[in-house]
Amino acid sequence: MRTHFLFLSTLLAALAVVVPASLAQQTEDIVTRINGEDTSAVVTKYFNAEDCADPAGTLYDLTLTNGGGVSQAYLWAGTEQAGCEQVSNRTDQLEVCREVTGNPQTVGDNATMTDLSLQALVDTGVFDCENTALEGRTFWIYSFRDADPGGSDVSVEGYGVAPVTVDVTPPQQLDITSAAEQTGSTFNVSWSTPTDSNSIAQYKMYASATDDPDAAEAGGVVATAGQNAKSISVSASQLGLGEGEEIYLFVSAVDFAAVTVGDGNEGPLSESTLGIAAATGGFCDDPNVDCSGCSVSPLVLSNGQPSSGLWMMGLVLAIITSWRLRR
Amino acid sequence: MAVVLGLVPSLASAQPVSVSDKPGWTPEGYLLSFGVGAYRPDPGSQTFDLVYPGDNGPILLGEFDLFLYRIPFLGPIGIGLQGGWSAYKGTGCLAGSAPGECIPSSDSAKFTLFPLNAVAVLRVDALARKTPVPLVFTGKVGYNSVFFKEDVGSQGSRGRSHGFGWGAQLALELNFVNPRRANALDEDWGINSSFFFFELAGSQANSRAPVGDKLYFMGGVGITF
Repeated sequence: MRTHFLFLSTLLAALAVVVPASLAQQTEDIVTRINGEDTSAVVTKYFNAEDCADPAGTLYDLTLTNGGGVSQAYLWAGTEQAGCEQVSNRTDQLEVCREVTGNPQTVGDNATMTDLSLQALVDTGVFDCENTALEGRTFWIYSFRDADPGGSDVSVEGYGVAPVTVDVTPPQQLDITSAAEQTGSTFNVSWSTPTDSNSIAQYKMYASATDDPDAAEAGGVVATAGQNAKSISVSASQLGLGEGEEIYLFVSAVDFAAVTVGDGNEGPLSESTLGIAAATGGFCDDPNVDCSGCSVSPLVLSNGQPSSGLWMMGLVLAIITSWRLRR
Repeated sequence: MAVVLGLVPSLASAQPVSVSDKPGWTPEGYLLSFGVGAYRPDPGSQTFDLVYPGDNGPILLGEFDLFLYRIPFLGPIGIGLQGGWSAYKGTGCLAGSAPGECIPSSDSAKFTLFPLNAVAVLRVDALARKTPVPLVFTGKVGYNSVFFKEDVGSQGSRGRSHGFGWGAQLALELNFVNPRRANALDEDWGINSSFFFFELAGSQANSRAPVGDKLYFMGGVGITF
């Protein structure tokens, strides 16, 4: 019994030492600004294809969490969960952690390093700005506080990590399911759910007088739809079309890789849909049908007929009166 | 209106409560029901059929009745209000379509009805009260007012039609399924009976736009309390 007690006590004591250490969380720093746009409230911070096309011109700010009193930081680029705080991972051979040029970085007001360049991250060779998965690839920016990590492991208090996702792969071209030629006062372009629908934030519609996607793109977006949309409708009047005039419509998908919805990577434009503006009619356009009556007139219709509202008020009054008399 | 307002108080004062003479029952003064059925404007013109082919609603219709007087050996008579909804989807026709034809356009069309009916109701429940047969027959006549709106493409139209309406209902009262529970429901909540019903009805709400249906049917559930 005594042996058992000693064994359990020893085990508990070991756990008391080991568990807190293993549960200790590294500090998560925040990329607070990319190209002048505030990313503080954005869950995933993206560098997209447009950023990667001009990495030198893509600047970001990095704010150190609990960084009060920190005057400089040493930045390292790492793959996700690279463990760059351990010296064994900070070797050129592993290619998971590389030091960013320009260290040490000056930490300014609000514990923030401003105008850091994406180019410096790409130059490490760790950040892949050319070929990412459809939904991007996450990297960590390690910020070692005040001291160069040098040749030793760094304790959890001595660094923080800022996750960022590089996504340069646009959504696929949309597969149009609506009629290729439409005649009417509104045009509806629909598509089958893309296989990469989870990564799509917005759909855009473009219009052109010719069947030319480039011309349509140059003309700008005419309508948008949210991430769960399966179609976009646009009226001939919205497009400024007169009766008999034609227009070619194209749609594309845009992924989440941006601060502002719609600014992410954009897929290629779809096949065109030809819209021909024409007047249309329904049941109410039958000359024998009168739909001109105001349905919300409380008492009298425009033609002098008593509205049903008047009848209903009378009925309600009758019900109330009779109910009171019955009591 | 004056007739309604004039008659109701006098009827009410002649027989103040619509009380079934069935022993142990609380006063039975109201009815609430909800039904689902097939309704399609039957305008006698092709336009509706061309724009909205093969769509029978459905119609959802709720009803509240107030019983004013119990006719001995027959059943309660009262007034009621019905309100409902029905919608139809179709395709707009190109304006250049020949009469009686519809060249479909790219515009979707939707027609929505909101019937609001005031009715006089006679509920013949003598069979259910005096015999073990749980069937109740109801007749209704009244004024149907149908509000409607149509959206074709980006354009919309609205209107209202009115006219005479009628209904004939057969209801199966469910108290026989578990009389003890039915009595408890009456004692605790004042619900005299619950029932399933089937109703045939007609509407001539065609005054401005022909949106009435000469004959339609409906089934549903209801309670009296």
